[in-house]
This record gives sequence, structure tokens and C-alpha cells, in this order.
Amino acid sequence: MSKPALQVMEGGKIPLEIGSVAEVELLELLGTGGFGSVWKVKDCHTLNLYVLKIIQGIIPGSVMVERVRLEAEVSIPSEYIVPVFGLCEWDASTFLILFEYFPGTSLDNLLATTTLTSQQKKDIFHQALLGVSDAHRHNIIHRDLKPGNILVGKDGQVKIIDFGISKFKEIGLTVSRELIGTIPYMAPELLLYGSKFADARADIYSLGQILYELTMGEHFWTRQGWRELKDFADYLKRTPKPSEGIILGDFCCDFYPKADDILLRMVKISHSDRYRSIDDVLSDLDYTPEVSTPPLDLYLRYPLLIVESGSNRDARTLVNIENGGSLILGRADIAGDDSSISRRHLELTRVGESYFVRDLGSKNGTLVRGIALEADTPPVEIIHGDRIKVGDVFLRFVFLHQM
Amino acid sequence: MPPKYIVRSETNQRSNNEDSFQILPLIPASAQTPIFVLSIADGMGGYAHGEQVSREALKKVTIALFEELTIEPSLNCIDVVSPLDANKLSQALSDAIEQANAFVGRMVEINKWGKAGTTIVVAAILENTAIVTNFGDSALFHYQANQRKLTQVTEDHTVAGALLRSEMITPEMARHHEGRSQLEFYLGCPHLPQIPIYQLQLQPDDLLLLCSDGISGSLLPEQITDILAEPFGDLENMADQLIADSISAGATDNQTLILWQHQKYFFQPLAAAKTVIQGRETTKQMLSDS
Repeated sequence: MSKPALQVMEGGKIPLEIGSVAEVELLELLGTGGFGSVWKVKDCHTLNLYVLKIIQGIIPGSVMVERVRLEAEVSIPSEYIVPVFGLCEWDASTFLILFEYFPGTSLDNLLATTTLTSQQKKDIFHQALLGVSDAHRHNIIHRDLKPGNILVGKDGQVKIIDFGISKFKEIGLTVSRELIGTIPYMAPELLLYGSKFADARADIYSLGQILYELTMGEHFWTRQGWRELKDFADYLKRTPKPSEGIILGDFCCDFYPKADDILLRMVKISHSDRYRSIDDVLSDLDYTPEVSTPPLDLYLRYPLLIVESGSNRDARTLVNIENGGSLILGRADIAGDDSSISRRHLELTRVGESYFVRDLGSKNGTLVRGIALEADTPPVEIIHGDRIKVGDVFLRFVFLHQM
Repeated sequence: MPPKYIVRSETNQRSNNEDSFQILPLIPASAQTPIFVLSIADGMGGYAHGEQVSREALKKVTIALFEELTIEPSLNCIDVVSPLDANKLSQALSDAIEQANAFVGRMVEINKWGKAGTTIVVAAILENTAIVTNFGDSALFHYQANQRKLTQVTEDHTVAGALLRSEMITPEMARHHEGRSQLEFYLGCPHLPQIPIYQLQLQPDDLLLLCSDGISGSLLPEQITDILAEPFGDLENMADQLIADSISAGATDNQTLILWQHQKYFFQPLAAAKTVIQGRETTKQMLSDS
């Protein structure tokens, strides 16, 4: 028997098979993304509330569907991110993603309807930074950060929605065109080269634009009277070439004394000139990053790479390197035969008890702490608990505890 | 001489056809021959509501044109209405698009359809002039028969299109760019830029091709030229070829096209009228039926 039509309307009921939730009723349209709609829903049996994202128009059988599923399945333990409860494939071209419900107002609505105090603005931005930092630590890049994706609860608690899902925008994934409304928040490299090439620095650019808007009450583009992408392109072509996506002008932030310099470094046009990590932004804003100390009883020789996503989840690869040696890993060594991993993908090296990783010019790249490793750059040190994203596969680097 | 055109609209590999089209002869209060309004809208969003959005957008545009060109000028008018020219028609079309944008925006908001909208391309043909406008990536091409030259008159309002026009990316990059399907402007979006209006002079046998991206999105301009330049091709064959070739080139989306062949414009007066004022009453006398 074929499935009934998807009832995307208030009062519509949708049968699901996500965890313990068997059927939900659509209560209220919360918002829309370019590729679908977001609804407040109620579990028909328990009456618990959730948020349901409906993504339609996916090209059936696209290899990207599986890749997006992998990313959406990775949970980010963060009190600042609305967790994904689960997802299901309604039909070949439709995905349903169920989130936990968070009763908040989106920041764009708040900015339009309320006057926030400086302290409130500071708290909101700080929490947004922490949430994005948590995601980057797991190598998940948002790619679509904007005030509409930042929810603020009545008590001031901030939660970010839509992590890991904006990858649906990648080339060829959806057959339907996207009605775009968030270009002003997009990093230049995202606009020019697409979301596939975006790493943590693209999110940092968006957060810079959000900081400007929080401070000034309107987006930089609005303040400039820019109405279209052409205006921004004309700006980028000015002589001398601008190096930032924002002109400070009358920008004046009364909640971060050093905001001018920090903002400019967040919105550098060239991503290589931008902050490399949210933790660096936090540090410059005088927040002390919480650094967890690794356990003292770790056996520092022969660490493991643990697969954290996909059909090969929990598979382990021993990193067996002598001091001064190296190990090249590729598709055959990690997560079965995932085609997103190149045959020679990354190299791990060991110097004393320290381990380093570098990408070997792989097709789909390697991310460590949200940053794409670029070819011809020095190896990056990795420590116990670090996440590495190899192609589309998420790995965790750990040392075993001593027996 | 009756107008010569053909319309095709195919669902292709989609479950429904979200494209709408209209060919409407409209007699302005000031004109003695009709203008022809050709339009295509490609609805999106929701995505169940794409059909409704595209239909309602076209209805709103034609109602607004009728109101501005026919009703308004004749209302309480005691003088002969000044003739319609290309500039007045351009203004009317621009106003109609603005009204349709506001209407679609409200319709989507009130019905809670999420992010829905529609592309639109309209050509209003006044004698030997075509006034053209568009939003989104539904396009109008002008084939000048005597020069065998094809011009894409409209711009695609996609992210890739904007970057290409600004020379930020190359044509090759644009063809594969992620933003080639991301619409920056469409009917129903919160802010429209200045409405683009193009005026074209038409020669006999010139062709106007209006189409949704199910045609123009997968065919190169040279391929379209080859089809339209076919010396013995009639409009039906050309339309069939455009549909078939775009499918061969990978189009899976709805496909709608209007192919209009311009003919020499003959002045054919309908019925000229003179207004006579008699005290407070106004009557019209028909001067001629020829």
C-alpha cells in the first residue's frame, strides 16, 4: 500500500517511526528554510512537544542523502544546541527530522519586536559562540547561521537550531530551487565556492555579522542601503580592495570593549585571515575557555580511531606508530568502503607522545575542530578526545586507559 | 491577422505541474487594437502550494494591468484617452509586478505556506514593441530572424547569475555553481530591487521564447538558436524540439514555454469613439465601425 500524502498543514497528522514517537500532529508553522518548513508538533500519544523539520524535493537515490543522514545523526552534546531526536525518510525525496522542542523566540523576531539591554545582547552572543564552538569541536559546521536560527528562551537561554542540516544545500541534493533570504550572513567563500568548502571560518563570519546586527540593531547591509548581492559584489570590487565584509563606520559596542578589532577579524573577506576558531574569539572577548584536562592514566602509545557515524559505527582502527614514524590511512582502513574517503586520505605522525595529522590532498578533505586541513600546511596536533572528520565519516581519536 | 504562437506545459518528472501560463489579449481604454500579454510563472515552496502561487500571481498581474490600462483611464473620463505608448505600458507592468509581489507575499503569510513564491516572466506586446519584465529564473529570449541572432533579454535572479554578472565567477563556474538554483528574487520575497523593464523592437518573423527553467536551465543558448533558426521549422516542431532536447540534457523539472512569432503589425481600428459633453451627462457616439 502506498503511503498517504504528507499533510503539511496545521492540524495535519504525520505517522513517523522515530524512536518512541509514532505519530505527530502539526500545531504551528515556526519558520521556513529554503528547502522545507519547520513545525511545532505534538506527539499524538504522549502529547509531548517537538519540532519537526520537513525537507522535500531531494533527488531520489542521491549519494548525498546518505551523507546528510550521517551528519544529521551525529549528536552534539551542547546545552546551546537544539538536539536532533531522530530522523526518517518519508519517501525517496522527503526527509523528516524531529528535534526536541525548545520554547524560544528567534533572535530576528526579538530584534524586530523588543529592545534588548546590552547585558542581554552580550549573554545571547556569548551563548551563541559557545553553541557553535561545541559543534565545531565535533566537526559540524552550521553554514546557515542567522538570527532566525538562534532561539532565545524567556530565561535568556539560547539554543541554536538546524545544525548539520544545511548540508542539504550542497550541489545536486535538492531538485527544488531555494528561495534564499540569508545572503547577507553568508561568508564570501560560501557564496563563491559553495557549502562543500565551508569550514568553521564560514560560521565565524556569520557570527560577526550577527554581532554587528545585535549591536547596531540592523544588519550591516541594511545600514548601507544594500538590497541585493550585486551591491556586496560591487563593494568587494572597490579599489583598494576591502579586506573585511563590514565597514565599522559608527559601530560602537557598549558590551564588548574590544569589539571593533574582534569584529573585523571575524568578517575578513579571505577566510585565511579570519579567526580560525571560536575559542580564539572567546578568548579575545575575555572569556576563559573551559579546557578539560585529559585523564592522567592514559596509555599514550597506540591510540585508537573510533568511527562515530554511519553503518560502520564503533569500528576501531589502531594507530600503531613508533616514535618518529608515520601512518597513512585511507578508505580501506577506515569505516569500511566509504567512497567519501580517498584511498590515501590522511597521514598521522608521532613525535614522542604527541600525535599529528595532515590531509594528503584528499578529494573530500579532513576537518579537525571544524577547520579544514589544507594541503601543504604543517600537521596539526591532535589530543585525546579530538574529533576528526574524514570525508563524510566522523572519527574520534582516543587513548585507552591503562589497565 | 490572428496572432501566431504556441504554448506547451509539461509536468516532466515531477509529481505535479507548478508552472502556470497565460496568453491574454487586453484592450486598453486608449487603444484600438489589443495588446497581448504573455506570461509564465513557476511556483515553488511549501512545496504543495507552488501551483496555487503561480496561478494567483499571473491572475494578479493581469487584473492589475486590466485595471490600470482599461478601467482607470476610462473611469469618469470625459476626454479622449491619450494613446498608450511603450513608456505608459512599462509603468503599468512595473506597477502590476509590484502589486503581485505584495499579493503573493500576503497570500503565503496568511495561509502559513512557509517560504513559497514564484518566478515570473511577462511580455506585453504593443504593436511592434514588446515590454518585458521578470523575476527569478524564468526567461525571455528574443530571436531576431533577419540576423539569426538569439538574445537572452532577461537576467536570471539566482545567486550564480548575480555573481556572474558581477564577474566574481566565470561562466563555467556558474554552470556548476551551488547558487544556480538559489533564487535571490522572486514574487513573494520581502524586498524587490528596482523592477527590471526591457523594451524590444520586433520585426516580422522575430520569435519571443518565454520559458520556465525546465527549458532554459539545461539548454545552452547555442542549442536554442539552432532550434529556432531551423529554416522550415514551424512553431510546433520548434516547441517539441525544445522540450525534447532539454529533457535529453537532463531537465527533470516542469517545462513551460510560449513561442510567439511576431507578424507585421497592421493598424486595424476597431471602433473609434468621440465623447460629447451635454450638460452633466456624458454620451458616446460611435464614429465608425469600419
